Amino acid sequence: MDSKALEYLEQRRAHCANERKRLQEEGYGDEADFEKIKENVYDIFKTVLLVARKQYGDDQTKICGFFREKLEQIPSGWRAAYEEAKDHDDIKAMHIENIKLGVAEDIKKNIFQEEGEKR
Amino acid sequence: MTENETIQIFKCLSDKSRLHLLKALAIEDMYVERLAERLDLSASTVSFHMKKLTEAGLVTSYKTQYYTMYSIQTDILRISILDLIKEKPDDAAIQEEREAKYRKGVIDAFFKYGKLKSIPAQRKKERIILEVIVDAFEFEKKYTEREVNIIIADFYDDFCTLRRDMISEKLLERSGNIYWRVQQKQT
Repeated sequence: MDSKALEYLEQRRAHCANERKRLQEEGYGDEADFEKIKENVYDIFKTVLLVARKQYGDDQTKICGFFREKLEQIPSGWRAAYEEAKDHDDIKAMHIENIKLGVAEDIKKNIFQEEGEKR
Repeated sequence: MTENETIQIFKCLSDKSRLHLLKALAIEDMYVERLAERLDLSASTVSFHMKKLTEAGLVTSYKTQYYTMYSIQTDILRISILDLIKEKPDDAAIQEEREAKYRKGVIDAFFKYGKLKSIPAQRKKERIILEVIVDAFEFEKKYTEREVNIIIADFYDDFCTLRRDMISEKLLERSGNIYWRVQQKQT
């Protein structure tokens, strides 16, 4: 799982970085910032995967378990922040948390769906 | 219009998506989902931009039966750029604006949704957060220490420190177990 996942995360991170650059050049300042947020989230999970690799070596089951756990744990804080922002009608914060949650969903869908198909 | 307000307008207009949103609203009033569809943006992104445009005073909203409609604020957009540049800054207003900006910065940094995150180490900043909290107290009303603690605990768990600091900052006064809010002299 880990080398394909790592490749996917790096690809998405690079795509967001390119998009950010393009949007910035075209005058879409805030959308460029949103891409930066996405880029950071892909980067966070790339780091998580590298940590798992370092910790568990070649044990794919353990790497997968660790990654899955973090993929639930880290966005739970974003979900709570989204709900809190929603309670206070803080549209800007809601949007930012939503972007982060969207990336987490994308990772879950793309990395683990592929895993499921293989099984 | 203050210089900061002018800058806020220019900043708002310097984003292509927001410019497109204003162009769409210049034709007719619209709701978020419709704007999102027209400009091929997510509804959440449109809401984000509408919030900024509303804060800058460039759009306004009103409720209809099913939707919140947005409309352009033509009065502000009719002001010429030359008029904005020519506007003479008033020194007192600039100073006031600076102080208000500083105050807002402190409040934004130390409060989240009305709860105090931590007590500032700097006295000037702590004074500002105490002034915010003391607003929860009514003038000419006597409070027991327990009542004071309950009110402050709504903002922060360490109510003892804040209660004592409010006394030393002369925002509250006490006599025995009774506390009251002090009227601040106008400077």
